[in-house]
Amino acid sequence: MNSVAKALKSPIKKKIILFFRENPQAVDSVRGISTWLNLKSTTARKFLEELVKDGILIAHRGATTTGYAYTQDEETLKLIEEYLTAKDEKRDTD
Amino acid sequence: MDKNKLILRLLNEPYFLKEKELFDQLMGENSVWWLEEEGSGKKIFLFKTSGNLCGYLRQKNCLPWLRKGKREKRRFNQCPHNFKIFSLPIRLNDSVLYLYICHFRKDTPLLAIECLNNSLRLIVDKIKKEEELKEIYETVRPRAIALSTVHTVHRLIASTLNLDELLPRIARLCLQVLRAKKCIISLVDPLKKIIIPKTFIDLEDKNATVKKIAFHKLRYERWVIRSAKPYLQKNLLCVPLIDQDVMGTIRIENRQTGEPFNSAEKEILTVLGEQAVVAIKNAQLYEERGRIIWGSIRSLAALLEIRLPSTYTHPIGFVEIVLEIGKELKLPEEEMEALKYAALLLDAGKISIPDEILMKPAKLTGKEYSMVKEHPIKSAEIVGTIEAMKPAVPLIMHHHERYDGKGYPMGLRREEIPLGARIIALADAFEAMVCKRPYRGKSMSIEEAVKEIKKSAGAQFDPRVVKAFLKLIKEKRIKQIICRMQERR
Repeated sequence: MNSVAKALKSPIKKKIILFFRENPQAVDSVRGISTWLNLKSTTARKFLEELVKDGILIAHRGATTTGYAYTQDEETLKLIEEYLTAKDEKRDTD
Repeated sequence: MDKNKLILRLLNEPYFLKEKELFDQLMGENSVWWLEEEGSGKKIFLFKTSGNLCGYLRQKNCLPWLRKGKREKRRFNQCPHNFKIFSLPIRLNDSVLYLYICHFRKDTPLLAIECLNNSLRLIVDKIKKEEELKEIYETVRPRAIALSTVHTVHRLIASTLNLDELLPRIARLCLQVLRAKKCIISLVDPLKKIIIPKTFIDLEDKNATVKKIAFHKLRYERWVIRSAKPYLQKNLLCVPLIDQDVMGTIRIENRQTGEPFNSAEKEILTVLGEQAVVAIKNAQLYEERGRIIWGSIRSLAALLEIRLPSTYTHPIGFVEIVLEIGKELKLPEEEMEALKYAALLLDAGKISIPDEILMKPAKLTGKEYSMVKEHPIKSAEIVGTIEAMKPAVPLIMHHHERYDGKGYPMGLRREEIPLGARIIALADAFEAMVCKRPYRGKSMSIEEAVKEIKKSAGAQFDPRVVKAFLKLIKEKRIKQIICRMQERR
């Protein structure tokens, strides 16, 4: 199973992915993202870093803060869309 | 809120459905509920009715009674066929919608109708409030996210004063925020009055460098700099970086979605450009400050060279070796800077030692050696008066300490000695071995000196620093630096 499919199985990772999919231009800190998604900072940080490792998010690291943003890799973006669309279709069929 | 949204919400509102159920139970049979927009006769039935109620109402001649009720703004309408119609007006954004409830019980308790009226009003008000809040949330949330992005971008670009790090970071953030594929940041050279591309990032070409940008391709930049106005084309957006004059440009190309850039994106890039100007200006000022400090230190070092015999000052190659070891040990930027300053002025205190001692070809007496041993303290005192040199003071003060604690001036050991001082200690000893000294006839070869250093790992020198040094010494460029140092002597 590829990293995108694996990530989408985790509800928190999926929540984060959906946030960035909805706001692809966003660059936000752990604090910001935990506010928008109603997550604890520690939880948000852990999952954000995992998503960076998965290649779904990009981390812009500064001295005092890290800005997380949606990947710009077209293949990864395509893969995310495919998985999310497939899930929507399955839900509609069910 | 529009009509369709209200209908959808009403039909999904459990309290509304419950009201219908209770009302029907109270009336003993199914009531008919529908909505009608003011001015339009079209009825939207909310629940299934048996047969065509509208036709039925018309057939029974109820509609004139309904219209009369509306005109007279009566909430209850009793028509001759024993229909009772109750209406509740709902005010929407630009129209009024009436909720009609028609029932067939003759002796309807007025109180029950009043209760229903109140409940329905509360339900409708609740739905309207929820929808208003949702609308506010949907409007405010994207703006708040955008504002947070601006804030994060500001923090990211304000957190570095290194131009080589800053410009690619700005470029990447511009690409991220505008979802574009290419970004070029160019700065104007104020002296030569030319545009110099400083950063080029192309997401589709990882090998993209500024060297690949041909001069003629900067025509958009030239236009933007001349006019001090943004340039917007289908697949290209270029904004000026304006301080007092135009100091450069940010140009982005090709949106990821393939759509053309629009004026909203022009505004966003302008805002990013304004943030970038402050950060670039700060970095340039910081670089300028660094150059001034470095110049002052070089002047001081030059003065020392004149005052002291050349065998007691360090050649520039020595600073290079010190910095190479620091880089190998991955020292942070600010420690590298302190290391650079310390390496150049570590023997400033020798100015207080009489020439007879410094030039003495024989071994020093105990008293003379005590005087020489004081030079790190004296150097630290001299250098410590310069504010920018403060971080270098501990390195200068302890560069003659030994890893085993047998050094001077304080006899510090192991990690008590600042890492920078441990690096300088090794480089200083190595330089003393391979270059000529008045108290030693012949200098050692590089191989002999390396052997000596290896032997002293853990005693005189930090084994970690020795390891880094041994790795470096194999490199050709380090050997070249050493040769230059030896030639200078």
